[in-house]
Amino acid sequence: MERDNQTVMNLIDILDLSEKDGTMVKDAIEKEGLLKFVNGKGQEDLSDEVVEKIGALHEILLLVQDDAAFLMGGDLSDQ
Amino acid sequence: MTSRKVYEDSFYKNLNKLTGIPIGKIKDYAKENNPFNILEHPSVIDLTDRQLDKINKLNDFVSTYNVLRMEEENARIQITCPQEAGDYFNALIGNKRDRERFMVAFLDTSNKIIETKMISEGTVDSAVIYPRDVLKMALANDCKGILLAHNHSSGKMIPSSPDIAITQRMLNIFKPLDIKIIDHVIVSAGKYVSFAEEQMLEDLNHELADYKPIKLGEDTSLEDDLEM
Repeated sequence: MERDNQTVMNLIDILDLSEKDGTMVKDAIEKEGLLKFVNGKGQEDLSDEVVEKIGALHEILLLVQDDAAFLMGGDLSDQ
Repeated sequence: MTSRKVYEDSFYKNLNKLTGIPIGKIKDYAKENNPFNILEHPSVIDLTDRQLDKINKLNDFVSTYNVLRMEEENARIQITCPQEAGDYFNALIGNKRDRERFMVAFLDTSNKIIETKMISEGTVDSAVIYPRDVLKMALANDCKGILLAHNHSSGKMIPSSPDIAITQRMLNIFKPLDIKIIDHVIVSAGKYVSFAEEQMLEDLNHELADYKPIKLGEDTSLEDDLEM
């Protein structure tokens, strides 16, 4: 639980959210869970700007997972 | 445009959006280097305090996200082989190359993880471990097994003398308590080396428990560490 709270606080800080947006994000994560939220669930009521930032974060998460392929210098179209 | 170029551009754009680091600065660095170094070694480029704070928080978020993904796949993660231990700790600290981190997973009788704790965050090539802290956490978790792990920020996948010494020390402390040291894995960038897999645990003889702190590092000698 401690880890979850810290993670949500980090997320709010990374996304530079206002108090209102931060509360909405917290509520959505509580309802959907962090994974589903980052993957797009529960974002319906958020502003376009916030959704865009979450999309950027989600892409970074996916890119980091593919980091090994990137480091190998391969063209990802091969995969 | 190749998919690699798309991949790079997407990383630059998103990193800029989240941290405020100018795209030009990221691109300049990436001309000669792997841009992911900016996440793993934030000090490779000049950052403001705010940008550095965001990178650190982003790294923590990536680690938590990776672990949550693993936990979702298996409600309570069970470690059944060294490869799984390596994968688990790579998700947590394998890509953190700015400094050494020592972690411990406390396991139940079926080797399912009760809790995983960061024990020490050190410098680029060393970390100080206090066995008393590990003992307190083990007892609080009522665990039956312990999995030790740390990252080698250099990427070198060979256990050092201090790595062997800390494993020996933990074996000495926990064996009388019937808590098994399942393995000690060293991780870096998706790779791992396992003491169990290399049959190094069997070579460590049981000695008297010693609770003094020990400095974990890649280049210091075993004798130096034991003098602490």
